[in-house]
Amino acid sequence: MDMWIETTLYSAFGLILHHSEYVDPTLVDWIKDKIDQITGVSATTIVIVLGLVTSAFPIGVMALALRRARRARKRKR
Amino acid sequence: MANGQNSPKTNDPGGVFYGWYIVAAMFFTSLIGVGSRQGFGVFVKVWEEDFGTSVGMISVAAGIGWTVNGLVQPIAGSLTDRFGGRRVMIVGSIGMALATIGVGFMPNVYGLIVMYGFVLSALAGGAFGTPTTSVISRWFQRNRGRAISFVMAGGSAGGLIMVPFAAYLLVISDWRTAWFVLGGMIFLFGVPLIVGIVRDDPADMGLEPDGGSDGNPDQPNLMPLQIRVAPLETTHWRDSIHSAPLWQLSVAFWVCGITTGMIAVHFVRWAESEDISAGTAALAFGVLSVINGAGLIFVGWISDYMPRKNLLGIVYLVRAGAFLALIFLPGQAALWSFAVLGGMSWLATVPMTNGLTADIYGLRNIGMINGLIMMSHQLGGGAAVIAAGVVFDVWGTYDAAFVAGFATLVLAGVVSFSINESKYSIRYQKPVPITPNVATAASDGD
Repeated sequence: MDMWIETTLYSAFGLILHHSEYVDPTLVDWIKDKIDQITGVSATTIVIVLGLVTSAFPIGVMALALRRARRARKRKR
Repeated sequence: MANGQNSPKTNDPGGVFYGWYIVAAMFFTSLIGVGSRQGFGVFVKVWEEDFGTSVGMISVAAGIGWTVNGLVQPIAGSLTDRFGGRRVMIVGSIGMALATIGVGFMPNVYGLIVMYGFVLSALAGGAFGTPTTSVISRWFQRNRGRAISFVMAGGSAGGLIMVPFAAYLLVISDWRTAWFVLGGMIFLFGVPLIVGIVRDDPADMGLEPDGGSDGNPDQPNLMPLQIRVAPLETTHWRDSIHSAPLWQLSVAFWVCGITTGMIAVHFVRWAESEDISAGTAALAFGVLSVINGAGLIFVGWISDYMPRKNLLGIVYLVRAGAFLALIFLPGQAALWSFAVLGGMSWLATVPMTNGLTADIYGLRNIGMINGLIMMSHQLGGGAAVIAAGVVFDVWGTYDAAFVAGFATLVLAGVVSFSINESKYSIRYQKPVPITPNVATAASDGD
């Protein structure tokens, strides 16, 4: 049963999305090796750095939007 | 709309036009949303062991997700037209965050298929994609191509940031924790950004598309308020089915789906058949992704200064050249030629297709029409992936599939060039200065 489901579904849906296709696992391993070679830091450090980079962007945009709103209010007065 | 009777301001009192803040917010939602979906590939090996299943079965979840996401686009578009893109994006992103966390609870591969393939992929259709481009089309007219390309570039950036993030998260924790963290990030950062920043229409803030007038903040009232109505804007989206540009754009975007879907799935397998290592092929595909980001922004930017349909035609022909390289050049030369030519044209079709749709059909039913065109793309991709697989199984080579890809791309190029943009695009219509009667008609029309 499992084999039948797998064969049928895989042939029907075994495809990847153009705009958000999942990344090739081989490419992931290659990227990880390269990052390890270049940076030489621990996985925890990389997670923290990438997490900070990712969270800094929305915080920055929100801060700029708030500043803009304050400016707009001042100009209106 | 912006040109109604309430005389909205022709310039943004806050300095930088507010539409660019919306672009920044949507760039981030694309980054985190597309990035976390691309991160799916990071977990394939660990799921294979943990669920005791095959890579093929895990790929089914991704494949169903692809199809569901495509089928949801017209629904998301219809909801966007009815309730506004902001509401659809808020509900979509909250649901997507919860479903991403939900993936971390799945006990087996069937749970993964349901949660990722159906629930998460359907909700992702509301978080980004059709609602995003529809809102951007309302905020931008002159800079529409550039604005859409920046939002789309968020997806490319997402692959560069979120995929390594997910990979290293998996090193220091387990796959369930990694999905909780990814879902938490969407909830903590993506949702507040949409709620706090995204607005459906510039008129909601008393602004005009592109910041009004000439876009020059020092001369806000240089030009009088004017009305331009998209030539094929209709009361109901069904009426647009009888017009040529919808079919021309859908056929071309269907070819886009055929050629990108075929390559996304079969590229590494083709490379192995040419005695190129999977690692080298994966690297070439990575190079393609990086060139793609740059190409996307460049093409989106120049599409605001020249006829979009010509640029769209050129992009399809460049991609046809990439397929020609696959057919005639030997292994490594074909690989790298394709990476460069394919990268230049990979996502560049999106800002021009969405831009032309809004230019021709206006904003009233933009969500639904964008959704229909997007669906043609996804269906083309699905069919091509299966067809290319069959071709390889029967002949032991992808040549016939690549020849078909080349032929359809030439067709897409010709079809794109044949769009009568000067007749149907709002960009080529003469503005009508607002008089009280015209203004009333315009606001009635909205």
